[in-house]
Order: sequence, then C-alpha cells, then structure tokens
Amino acid sequence: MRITRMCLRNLLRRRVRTLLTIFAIGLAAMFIIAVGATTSRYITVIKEMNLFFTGDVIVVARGVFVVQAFPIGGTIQEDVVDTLAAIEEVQTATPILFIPNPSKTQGTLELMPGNITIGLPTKDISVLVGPTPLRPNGSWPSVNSSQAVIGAALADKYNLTVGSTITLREHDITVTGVLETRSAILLHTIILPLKLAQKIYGYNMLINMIVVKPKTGISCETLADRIESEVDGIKTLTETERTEFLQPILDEAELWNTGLRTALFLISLILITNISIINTFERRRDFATLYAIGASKLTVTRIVITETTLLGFFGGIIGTILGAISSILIVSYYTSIPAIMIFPDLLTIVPPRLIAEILSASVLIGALAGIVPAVTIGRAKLEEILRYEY
Amino acid sequence: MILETQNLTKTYQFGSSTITVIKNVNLEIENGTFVSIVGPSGSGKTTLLNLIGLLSHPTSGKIFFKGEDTSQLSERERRKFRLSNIGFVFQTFNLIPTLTAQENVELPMAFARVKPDTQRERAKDLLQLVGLTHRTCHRPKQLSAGEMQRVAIVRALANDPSLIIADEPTGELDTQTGLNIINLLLNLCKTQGKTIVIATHDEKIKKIADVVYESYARSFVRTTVQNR
Repeated sequence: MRITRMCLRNLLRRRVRTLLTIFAIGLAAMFIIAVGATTSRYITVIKEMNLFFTGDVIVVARGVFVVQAFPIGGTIQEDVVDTLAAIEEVQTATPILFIPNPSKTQGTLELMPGNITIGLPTKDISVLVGPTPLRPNGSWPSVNSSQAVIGAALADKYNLTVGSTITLREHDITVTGVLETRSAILLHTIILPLKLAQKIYGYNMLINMIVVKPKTGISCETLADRIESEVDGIKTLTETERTEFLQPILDEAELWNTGLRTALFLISLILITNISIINTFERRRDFATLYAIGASKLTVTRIVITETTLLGFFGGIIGTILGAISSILIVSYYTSIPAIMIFPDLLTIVPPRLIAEILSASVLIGALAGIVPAVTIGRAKLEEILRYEY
Repeated sequence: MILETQNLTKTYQFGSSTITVIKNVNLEIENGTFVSIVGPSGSGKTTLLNLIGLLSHPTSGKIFFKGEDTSQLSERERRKFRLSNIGFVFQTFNLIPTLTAQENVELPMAFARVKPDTQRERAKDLLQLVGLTHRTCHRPKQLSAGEMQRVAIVRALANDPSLIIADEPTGELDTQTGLNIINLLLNLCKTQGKTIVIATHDEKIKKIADVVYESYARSFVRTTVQNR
C-alpha cells in the first residue's frame, strides 16, 4: 500500500507529464475501442446481410458485384421471374429492385450515404422483412400505390410518421408505416412497391435480383444449377456461396482491426517506457538511496512497475470512457439514432469483453513498460549515483 | 570490535588506465565509538564509507563486521545486513521527496517488514527524539536543511543499527546547524552506544571524535585516540 501511495505521489509530482501520458494512452485506447466498435458494427451489418433470404437462392445479373445477397448495380429483365417460377423445383420467385445509396435525391428527404431503397411486390414484403412489425397505426403499402414503409432510423432522423410525405426524385410518397426493427439495414431502408421503385429509378421492367425459394426437399445447390442451365446472363448465389464470399471480408476486417490494435498497443508501450525511463533517470538518486537504506531490487522494481502500471491503468480507464462516447457517436452517425437513445445499448456497442480487454491490455502494457527502466536502475552503480548526482 | 578492515583497496578502471582510490586501508573500530575519517576532497573518504557500508565491493582486502567476513555475503545478504546493522546519513540528506518526514523514517522499517503500527510508533518516537514531532506530516521541501538532516539521522536509526555511517553530514548546513547535528550524533553515540563513522574535513568534528583516521598516501591512518 505504501508503494502504491508513493508511486501515486511520484506521478502527481510530475503532473503535466503524467497527465499527458495518461491522455495519450487514453487516446490510443479510445481509438482501439472506437475502431473495434465500428469494425464490429460493419461486421454485424455484413453478417446481417447474410441472414436475409436464408435457404433461398439469389439470382443476379452475371458479372455484377454482390455484397452478400445484395447486388450493386446490374439488371435482369422482369420476365425472368416468370421463367424461374415455371421451373419445377421453384416454390416462389420474388423480384426485387435493390438501390443502395440513392444519390442526388431531391426534396424533403435528404438521404445520407448508407440508406437503401428496396422495391418489391407488396404481397412479398415478408420475404424481405420477415416478422418485423410496424409501429402503431402503420400499414403496408397498397399495390401500385405511391406509398412506402420506412426504417425507424430514417423516421426518427427526419421526424417522419405515418402520413408524412417524402419526396424521392420528385415523386411524392406517403409513409404508411415505420419498421420497428433493430436490423441495421432495415433501419435505413425505404420499402416501395416494385412498380413505384422501377418508375422512380428508371428501371422500366427491370429488376436487379430475384429471391428464389426452392420447394421442400430441393437443395439450393441443385436448384441453382438448374436455374443457371435454364436462364442465360444470370448468376446464382446459394447460402453456402454467400457465406464463402463473406468470410474473406470478415477476415480482412478482423486483420485490419488486429493490426491497428497492435500498432496502438505498441505505441502506448513505447510511450510509457519512454516516460518511465525519463522518470526513473531523474530519480536515480532516490532509488540509490532506497537501495542504500535496505530496499531490495524487487522493491525498486515494484515501485517502477507500479508507476507504469498506474499510468496504463488510468490511461485505460480514460480510453474506455472516451472510447465508449466516441463509439456511441459513431453508431449514432451511422444509424441516425440520437446518441441519447443509443446509450442504454452501450454494452452492446462496447461489449464488456472489449472493455475488459482494453483495461487488461493497458495494465499489461504499463507493467511491461516498467521492465526496461527497472532493469536499467537495477544495474546502476549505487555508489556513483549517491556520490555524484545531487 | 564492531568493524575491522584488512588491506582494503579500491581501484577503478577508466579505459586502459587504473586509478587506485584507496590502498591497504586497515581500520579497527570499537563498538560505541565516534570515529572521524578526515581528508581532503578526493582522498577516498566516501569510497571508504561506501565500502564499509557494504554499498560497493572492494577490489581487494576484507571487511569484518562483528567478526564476520562480509566478502562472503551474497548481494541479498549484504542488503539484509545493511538493513539491520548499518544506518546511512548523506551530505545532501537524500530524503524521498514524495514522502513525509514520518514516512521517510518508516521506510527502512517497511523494508525490514516491521509491522505498520510498530513502524508508526517508532517513527514518531524517533522524530520526537530529535524535536520534530510537529513536522511528522511535512515533506522534505517543507523542512529546513537542519530539519531534513535530523530526519535523515532518525531514518538511519529506524532499524536500530549498531553502526551509523555519515558522509559529510554537515556539508550542506550552516555552522550552528552543523554543530547541532554533530551534537546529535555524538549524543547517539554516548547515550545509545551507537558507533558513528563520519567522513568530514570539519576540524571541530575532528576534535570531538574518539578516533580519527586521516588520509595519507591513498590510505587512512589512525592519528588520534581520545579517552573520555
């Protein structure tokens, strides 16, 4: 206890240096948490995309870039749906027009990047949203109407409710429902009747994906092979293929995350080591005195390592707090949900495991950073320090 | 005999040249005596004190403490030996600046694993002994030079060692304060039976010491023995 008290006083004695070090470690820890939270957010979204259309075969135009089930661009003639529906192994074929990041949108709704417009037959909306409910008083769009259902994030951000009007490319659309969902994708989605989406975005009789549900007992692989043999110019994606496509993206995200984390840890380690070397060098005479009056090398090592560990610990605490705040702000930015509403979900965004990991790593880094200065002071020649350094 | 040295020699290697700081020093120090090591700057006083205080190793020669050959001791044993048998007083006090006077005095006891309550009590008693009861909670920078040296002296007494080594303890003090410190050390010698070995070039200390060793040709020779 005495050692901890002494170390705290030593750190306080060099307040500015200590505070700057703690702040720098805090910043590093904050970046680790923020990057970790953001990366996990992206990974969640990507994984969530893979959860759509489970057990279905996705049909997209050949050569188009696909993020999981969702194509970026590309078109398919709408009548291909009928061709697919006629295949014996097919139970249903649902045409979808998927428009990510609608650009140059004019009107009352200024869409931020990350929003999505999806057009599909109103009777088939459940293919996309499953059992997701609407907020009270909401209803699904009518066939061939100028109506839309929007995600809760969009509704909250633009203060839209049932009956509000939004304008997409100079088309006025009435909001009939707000999706009450936690899905990062659906939160930002405008769901329109297919015909209306085609009209707004100029996809006349065109779509860019078809969700094909196989009949009971038919494997997706068999159905995919059958579809590719029957229809030209398309590509099929089974769930397995989508998962295989997902893994490299997740691996890469994880690699970047790990790399950045390692780099920040190393920077923190070097920083604390450097400060600790300066601190111990300045107090060589104090340490020599401690040795002279009977302190063991272990005691002096404990003092040095306790000081660096305290630096790491306080840096970790500050970093955790800053990291949690920045993560909330980042998630708020990407989801358009007010930060205050995200706060209750803090432990979901910044999982306790990540907090524990950061704090443990900060303490570990602090402890490691004390080794070099402790060894240096342990090797110093007592009599020379006591004699010459006043 | 509390301390005896036999042909104590210390040399330093600076590149290719060897510098002999002290050579063949033979001390015989009786228990409870006030010993003064006198010599000009650079004569090897501090080197000698560091050697007999087991802070450094002789190049050759032996140091016997209460008849025990300390050259056989490991580094850990030397530390323990120092902790319980030797107290140090430095010219520049060398108090730990972040600790209060009382905590500085408690420190050697903490290293000796004395119970915290006992540490506190003894530290207070020792500070009372030197008239610093009102300064127990003050840090070194809040104390005068004389007070700091008094704290340093009682710190040296914390584990009740039989030998106190003081390296020019009055060097940083004014004449009157220096005299007070010397009287304090002398008093410890006479009333508590401590053996005091003090390095100095202060003539007043030379006069009051029981035994004086003066530097001569890189060695120290006994020049004065006073019988009180």
